[in-house]
Amino acid sequence: MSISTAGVLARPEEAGSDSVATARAPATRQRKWPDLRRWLSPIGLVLLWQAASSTGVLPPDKLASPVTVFRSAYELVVDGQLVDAFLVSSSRVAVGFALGAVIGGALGLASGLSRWGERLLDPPVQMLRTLPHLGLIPLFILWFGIGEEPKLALVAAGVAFPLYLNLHAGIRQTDPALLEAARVLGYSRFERVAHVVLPSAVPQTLVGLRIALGTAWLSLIVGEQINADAGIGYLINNAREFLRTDVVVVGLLVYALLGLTTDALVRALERRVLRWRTR
Amino acid sequence: MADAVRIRGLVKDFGPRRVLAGLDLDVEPGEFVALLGRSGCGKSTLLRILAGLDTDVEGTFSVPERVSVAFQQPRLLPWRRVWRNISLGLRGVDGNGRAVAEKALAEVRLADHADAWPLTLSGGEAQRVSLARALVREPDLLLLDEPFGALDALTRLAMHHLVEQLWREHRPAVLFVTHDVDEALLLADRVVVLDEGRIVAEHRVDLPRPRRRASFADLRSQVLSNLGVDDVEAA
Repeated sequence: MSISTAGVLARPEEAGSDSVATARAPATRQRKWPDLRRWLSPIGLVLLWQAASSTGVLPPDKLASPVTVFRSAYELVVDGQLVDAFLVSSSRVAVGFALGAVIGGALGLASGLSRWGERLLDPPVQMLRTLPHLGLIPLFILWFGIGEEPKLALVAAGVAFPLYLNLHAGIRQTDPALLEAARVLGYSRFERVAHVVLPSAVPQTLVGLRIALGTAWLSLIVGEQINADAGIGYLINNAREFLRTDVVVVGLLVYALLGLTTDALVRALERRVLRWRTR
Repeated sequence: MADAVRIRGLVKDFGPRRVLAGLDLDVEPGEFVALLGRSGCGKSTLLRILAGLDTDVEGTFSVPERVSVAFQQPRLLPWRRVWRNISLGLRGVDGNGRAVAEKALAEVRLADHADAWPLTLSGGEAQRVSLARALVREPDLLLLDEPFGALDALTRLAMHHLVEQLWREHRPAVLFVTHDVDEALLLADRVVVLDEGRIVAEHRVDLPRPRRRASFADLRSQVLSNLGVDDVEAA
């Protein structure tokens, strides 16, 4: 592409329709054909890892080879262990998330929609959020024991705070101009909340939702270190006892996959809920 | 017939600044009144007070029960489709909202945009939706706060025509805030010039409609001099 075209690219809104067409073409072509060259270094690293394992530079009790990891993954899937662990961990996140979402959502709504709610709720929540919630583990163990409850509580705490903060901020950021318009147009209080305040808080709340899901998985990983007798954390801890680094890596990969999946779900939700922003 | 708007001794302060300094103004039912003035002369504040958006005033004023506003920015809800923007908040249309909205959209020539998202509209289209939204409430008083201020010159011309036509069909009293003298003389029955929170001049525009710019050149110079501007074209 010539230098003059680059100048057009920098200011597409001033360019004529023809130049816009040429400026847009490379972008769509890039989206259709992802740059495969970006895969060179990740694949190279895996090959290097395999080579280090095969030659004995990397002993299996430090890190198993990629081939071993894939074989173990296959075996764990076939004998059902991985599926069971996956289900247990997923349901922990689901229950903990639901709990945290209800708490964070209710508090966020209450303090966002009512002045008294904000006066009463916001100060303590803002104080508590400065605590790193993972530091609450000792207290949670004392309060809830070492069963399922502290794990769920940890996930819930990790979810409730980011959701509260973003929902509250989203509601407070409602454009005053739109609220004025709603007033002169004769909206009832319910209509104002349902059609002006809450929809305008949605983008910020979705940001909170993504942060909350990330924190949920992090909290689960930490929570599953507490005397787990099932789940991916149990699988990993058990494997550590027997120096099975291959199983540890499989467990970590599953955590990563689950995190990616929930993130993709939120992004899909975003596209659907915020479709008014596009087109 | 009673006045649509009746204002007596209206005073509004923002802190130490007096924005309206004892203003008297009457508007007859169906009358189109343009409020002209420089920025900060209090014309927008007056509109906000009549719309019930600014309170804490001295003096008295009365407005009809049904008052609608079109703002300088269209202020549409971006997350509601165009027809919902028009029908939301409307009383006594249960289940009929869509049909009512479509009829109002047809009046501003946007019948095929009922399902569009507001962000996909051009500035002029959005402003027409805002007008439709105000008119569908069948106001006895329509407050227009520089509704064409953010539009390009060509779109403005089309909007002048549309507003005049809609006003003739619905006959609300109109209070139209602008700082464009031509716009005011083109549309209004009466032009009121505001300065420092008081009315400093009033002109009745007894010209047949639709008006041409050439027909009000003299009046234009007068109003401009009221505003403290020398009309170089007339000189």
